[in-house]
Amino acid sequence: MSEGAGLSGVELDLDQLSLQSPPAMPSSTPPLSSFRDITDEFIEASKKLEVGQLVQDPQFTLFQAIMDPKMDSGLLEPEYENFDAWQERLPEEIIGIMDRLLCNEMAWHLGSALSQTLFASLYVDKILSSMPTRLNDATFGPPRGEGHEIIQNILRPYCVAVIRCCAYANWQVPNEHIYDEEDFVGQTYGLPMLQAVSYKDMDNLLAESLVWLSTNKDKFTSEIYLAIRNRILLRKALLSNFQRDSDWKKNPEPQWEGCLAFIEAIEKDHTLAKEVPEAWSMSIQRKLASSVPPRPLVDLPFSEAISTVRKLCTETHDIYKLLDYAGASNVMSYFIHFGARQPTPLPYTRSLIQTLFCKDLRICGKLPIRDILYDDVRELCNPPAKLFDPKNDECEAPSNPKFQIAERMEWFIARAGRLYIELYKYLCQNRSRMRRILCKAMLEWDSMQVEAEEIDQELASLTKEQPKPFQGVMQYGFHLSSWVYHYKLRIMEQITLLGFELEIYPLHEFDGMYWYLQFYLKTRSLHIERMLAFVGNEPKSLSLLNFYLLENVAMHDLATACMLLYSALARYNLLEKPRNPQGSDRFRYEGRMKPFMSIGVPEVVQYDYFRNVVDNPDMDTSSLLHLASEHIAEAKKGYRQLSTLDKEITRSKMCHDTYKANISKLTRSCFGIGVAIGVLTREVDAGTVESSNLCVTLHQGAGYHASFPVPLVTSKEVKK
Amino acid sequence: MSTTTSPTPSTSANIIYRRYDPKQEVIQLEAIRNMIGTDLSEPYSIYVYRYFLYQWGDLCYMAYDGDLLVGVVVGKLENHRGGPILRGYIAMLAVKESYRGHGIATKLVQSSISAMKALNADEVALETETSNKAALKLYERLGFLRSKRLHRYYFNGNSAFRLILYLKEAPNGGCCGEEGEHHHDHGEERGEREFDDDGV
Ligand SMILES: CC(C)(COP(=O)(O)OP(=O)(O)OC[C@H]1O[C@@H](n2cnc3c(N)ncnc32)[C@H](O)[C@@H]1OP(=O)(O)O)[C@@H](O)C(=O)NCCC(=O)NCCS
Repeated sequence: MSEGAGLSGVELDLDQLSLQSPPAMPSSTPPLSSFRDITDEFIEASKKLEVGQLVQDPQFTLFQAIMDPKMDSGLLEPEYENFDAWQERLPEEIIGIMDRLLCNEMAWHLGSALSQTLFASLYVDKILSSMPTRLNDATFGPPRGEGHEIIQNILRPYCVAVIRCCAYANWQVPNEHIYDEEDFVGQTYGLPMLQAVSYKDMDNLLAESLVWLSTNKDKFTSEIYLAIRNRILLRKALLSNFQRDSDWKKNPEPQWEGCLAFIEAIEKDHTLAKEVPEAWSMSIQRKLASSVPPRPLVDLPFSEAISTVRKLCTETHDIYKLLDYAGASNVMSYFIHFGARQPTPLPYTRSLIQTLFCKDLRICGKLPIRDILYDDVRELCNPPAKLFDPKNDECEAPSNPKFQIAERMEWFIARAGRLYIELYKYLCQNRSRMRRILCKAMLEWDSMQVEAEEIDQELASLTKEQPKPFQGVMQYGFHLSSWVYHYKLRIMEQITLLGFELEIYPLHEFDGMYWYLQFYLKTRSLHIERMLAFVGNEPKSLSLLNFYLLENVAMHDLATACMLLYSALARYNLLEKPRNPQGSDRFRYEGRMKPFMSIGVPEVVQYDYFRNVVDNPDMDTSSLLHLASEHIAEAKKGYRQLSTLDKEITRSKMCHDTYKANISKLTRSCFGIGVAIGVLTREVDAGTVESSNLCVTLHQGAGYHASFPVPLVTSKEVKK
Repeated sequence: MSTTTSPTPSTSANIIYRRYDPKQEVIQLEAIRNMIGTDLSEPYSIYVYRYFLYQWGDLCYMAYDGDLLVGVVVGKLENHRGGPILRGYIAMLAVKESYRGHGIATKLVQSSISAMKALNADEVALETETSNKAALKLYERLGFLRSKRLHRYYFNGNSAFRLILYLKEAPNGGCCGEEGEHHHDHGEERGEREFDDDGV
């Protein structure tokens, strides 16, 4: 808990509150006639308490005590009471209001509450406070006063349409795994969001608004006219796209990019906008009865609202590619790159992609789950075709091997299908959440691996599989468990990579954590080599496995170089390692590795062994750095090669640009880390390194890969 | 680092550290509230202070310069999610601005941790904003480990790190196992969340 822990402005007299809570609450409400004055008993009972003594009903949580604004009888402020929606506004002010409403809407998309954004608009409040469900009721009341026409014909339709757009988003987001109150706040405080108003009526309203505008064109300068028009056109387009998304099966062709031209236009003519700050009020929150505490208004700058709405349009447009199924490995790599985008895609898009991917047990709008699962398994490890023979399912004799194979494959579809589909959904979570969920998923994949190994043995005998020599030993393919193991290793790598990206590892843990990263990568490389020995001549599998191997080896070199570099830096105490911490380094190591502790293979290594392989006490620092520079040279070579491969090979049919951008980030990191190795090598060779004259700072930006930030090794004199 | 603006009245040598004394609650609680009220951006209600002080006053330490309260740490100690792990928790920590950078917070936290250790704590946890450099440095120097990042943890939209100090050997085969289901009823969960959440 620290400042800003969300207790903003709640001034409760909890002193009283704690005493008021009787030891047990009657569960049902007694009739009014049975009320009894207990003032005397209450005062008598309170006398028995010490000052400060706590009386706490178990039902009454700390949260309610701090947060519940029902205990806060705040007053509505004059700005609210006196607001008149019909007050005459300049056209520039109308533009200003429209733009700020867009800021409100986007701030809400980014995770703020409606009470901090859209609902704080007094215009929106005027419309919603009569609890309208029909379009005709969604008004500012009977029009009056001078200049009401523009308010009636432009501002009202615009406000109503913004609300309706939010209703679409608020319907979509909770349909999928998106965390309420964390990524997105769906709370509407009981207000109607005009969900019941049909798209057609909404669209008509905006169309009429445009008609009014062009009829009254001569009332405005041409810039103002166009600015208003662009805003209504953008709103119309947004509304249409939200509606299409809500019925995507009928509308598989996205049109989100059609909004971009309007966005560009309103970005330019925003200079015309004149702000109307009195049209927003914090005190609205007092009115919105809810269990959520008052929160400060969020003032998203217009430029950020623009980049957010642009992101909404381009990314939502892009995810429709999924409907044109491009094969399991391509879909998976699309999700990986989607999740890694910076900044993270909006909750709306992250929800919709999950719907497009899997709805009503159909993948990408058409395939049964087993199809994408089989597709993935076959492409990676090409098990014997007998396993997938549809005829197996027709066999009814329990003693027939076909029947028994079908039974085992059914098991596999049920067991692996769920975890596999969930994995895609996990890749759509915010990065912090993703890392935590993957820690959990890793355990499930680990136990599934054990189960799948058993099934593999049974399948080997049912299919009369011939063992093959691998590393001098005759072995069975263990196809299904190989596939599981491969995913499990990828998850373990991803958890580690995210540890760097999310700054969970402090600098002095970098050597050890890069050691683990290279360890998992190495383990996977060996596993890929084993799979290569069992896939036969299947070109798809060979190409996929060889691509993975290349990718893996390059990152292994990069991670190893990092490990060696940080290990060298640690020798000179340059990594801010605490000097006299509590607890012990071993406990900290075990704490760090806790999520991995129960994984069978690869195991968490013993602490002493870990220190030894990370510290390399037998190698002098120059050799350590020399080795690091060799690895970085290899990594650069690897990434150069990876950057030339086409989208078929790299399974980036749907996201080749992102794939290339990612490789170039990794390449930059290689160069940056290479430079750091060089600097340190020179210092070491000159014999001048000491923690007193060098310092290390991390560089996260500059186009480096988020999991491979670059250490700047500088001498302290130069810095000052 | 912050020595350029060192407090005029004293050096750290004159600071006296005291454990919270329930008998003096009227005076001490008021002083603590005032201090945290000014040093943390938002004042907590008195119930929050009582929640901690009434139940775990022995984990609360205060730093005085003469009669002036200049620093405080408030904590609790409970079985983590009803399981076997006894987890201490640092709920609030603040040092008066003009007294910062002299190791006062470090001493306070150390005292609280020692008290938790004496009560057999397995670990000590807390959350802090990812941007709170001073707090992160202080806790990490004491041996706390960033165990996870919590997206938009605070109502102001900022993210947090959960920090944990491990005081004992990890129980055998321990695993993360802390990833509770995502919250359905956020009334209850959120309360946990603000103070000691370990949900996903
Ligand atoms: C965090 C806080 C309690 C630290 O109090 P303090 O008495 O200054 O802390 P210490 O003197 O014990 O400092 C501990 C370390 O943190 C470092 N530190 C202090 N302020 C810092 C800052 N602004 N930036 C970076 N490091 C800082 C100190 O330099 C010291 O390390 P060093 O000895 O290597 O230099 C104080 O800044 C504060 O009250 N902040 C506002 C409330 C808050 O954030 N509480 C924590 C919520 S969990």
